[in-house]
Amino acid sequence: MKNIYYPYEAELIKIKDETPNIKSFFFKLSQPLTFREGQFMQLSVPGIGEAPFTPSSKPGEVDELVITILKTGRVTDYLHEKVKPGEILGLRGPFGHGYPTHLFDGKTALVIGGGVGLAPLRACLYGLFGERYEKVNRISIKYGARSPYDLVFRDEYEEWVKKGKVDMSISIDRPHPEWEKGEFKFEGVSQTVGLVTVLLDNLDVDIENTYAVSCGPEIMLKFVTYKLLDLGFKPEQIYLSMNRRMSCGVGKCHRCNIGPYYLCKDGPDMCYADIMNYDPFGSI
Amino acid sequence: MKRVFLPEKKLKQFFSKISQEYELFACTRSEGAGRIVRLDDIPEEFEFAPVRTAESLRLFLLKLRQLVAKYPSDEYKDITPDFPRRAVIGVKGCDIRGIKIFDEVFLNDPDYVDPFYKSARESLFLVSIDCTDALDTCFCNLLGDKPYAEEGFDINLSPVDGGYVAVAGSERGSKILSSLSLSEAEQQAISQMETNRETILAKLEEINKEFKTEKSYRELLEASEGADGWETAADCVGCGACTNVCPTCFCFTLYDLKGKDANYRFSVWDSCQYSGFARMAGGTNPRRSLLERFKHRYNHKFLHYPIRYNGVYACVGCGRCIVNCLGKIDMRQTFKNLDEAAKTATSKE
Repeated sequence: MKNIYYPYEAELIKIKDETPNIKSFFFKLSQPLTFREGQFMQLSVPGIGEAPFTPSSKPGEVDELVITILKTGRVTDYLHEKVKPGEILGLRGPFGHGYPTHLFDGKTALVIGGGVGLAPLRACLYGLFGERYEKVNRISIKYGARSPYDLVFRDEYEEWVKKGKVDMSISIDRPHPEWEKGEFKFEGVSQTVGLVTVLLDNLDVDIENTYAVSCGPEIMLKFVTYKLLDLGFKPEQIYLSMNRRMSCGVGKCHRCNIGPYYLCKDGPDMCYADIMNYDPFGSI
Repeated sequence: MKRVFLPEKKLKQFFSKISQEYELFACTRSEGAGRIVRLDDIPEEFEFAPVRTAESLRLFLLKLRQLVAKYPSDEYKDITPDFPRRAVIGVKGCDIRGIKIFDEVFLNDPDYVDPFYKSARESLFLVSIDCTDALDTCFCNLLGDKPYAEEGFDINLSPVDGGYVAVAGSERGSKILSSLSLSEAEQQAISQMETNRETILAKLEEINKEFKTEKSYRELLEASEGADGWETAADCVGCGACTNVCPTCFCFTLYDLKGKDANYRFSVWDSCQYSGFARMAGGTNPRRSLLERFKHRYNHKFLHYPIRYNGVYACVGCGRCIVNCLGKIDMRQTFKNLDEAAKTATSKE
């Protein structure tokens, strides 16, 4: 029988610094796999532990994978400090459903990210930039980070907005001298200061024909959700990446549930309409 | 279903037949709850526990600590775990129903089957026996259940004068019974079996009459908001005893260790009552307060699990959580309080 807990070998071929505490890890897989945007992998550091991450690279059938990781705990500390290219790590997955990209056909995709939350959303964007691009009306990206130095994938924004159907605005949490001076200037990208929800003020999308996907710290997801509801979005139009603590990844250990839903099996990207009656943000 | 009569004097033969294929465990009478004991020798006679045992069957199916992978190692990619073949004789209906709760999660999931559970489950031979008494913490009747098993066993025994009415619930159970050349149970024995069942059910009704609620447990939780009716949570110390003795709790966590020659991955029992259970890296915790974790346990058992798995409660009314609670919290009382709170809320409207 297939052992659902066994981590398959994956060679780490490159590590790229994205921000002072976020790095992208590039993997060569021992066997190709097919993942949908938003689906997640369980990444093992041998003998240390395992944690769930959604790849930030292009979805589909792949033999390479990029996972962008914030240094924030036992496993991620180890990844940031100790692990070197050439080492063999472990992967299980992909797990979960991922983003409902089919909903974006003929609609506007409102993509709202915070901090390292842009990583899973980048896979979603790459998905939308592929075959789907013809069908999508518009892709509007709203992205917030603590400071200019905490923005991930900075070298790609200009490329994205040049595509035509894509617009992007960015905010940083607090005023920053280099931001004010225009030292972080992205051509075609609107830039401001404030929490990511300020980017939803004066939102110029046709709300009725828009679906929103959001990924970031849960406290941000909570306020993004309330803001979107305020603006007139229906709960059915809001999808949240609830990337909570998971252990098994396969709906067994019962750690990641929101009500009757297992985020690992039914998510991690959940429609707010499904979870709204089950205290989705708890004490967050 | 064919009912046969197993005379007391053939019990030894019954045990020894089962022991040819299985390591033998049996539920014996003890003060209060029964105990599960290993039978290294076949006893001449045996007194079964009249009520449930102190231990649930969880230990037979989900080890406290299970090695789930040694990696890298080809032998763990695909695996047929080799669990000892064991038989537990004298299990009560509540514990038999508890296994169904596990089955839905570990075995009947169309996407992912847990190979360790599957193996342990298939290696476990179960002989259930009707309750012939009730503890004052037993409350299966409040959940609409009965003090005997109707399915899920290999063999069920109903104690009557001079022996047991025996019924097979599986092919392997049927094989054991037919090897003993037993005669069909007489009407008198069957009537006695039915009378005993009714007597114990009546006793349970009497024990639990003060805890009856107007609304079902699920309805009470669906309607519950805030802290109204949750007064019992004030006595909770978050020790997790309730989840450790529960025959339907199955939460676990995976953890890895570095060995000399390889890396090891274990699954160990965990509890939703611990503060770190859902805490994420970085410290964010969706259930930070003890009250939230307390409510979570009730919600999981009586609301979330039934929604996900065919309306069945993830509680069998065995009452182990009541007996083992450091704060003396009685689940029945919590629901009674919720019921009262719901009535008060309705009358205010």
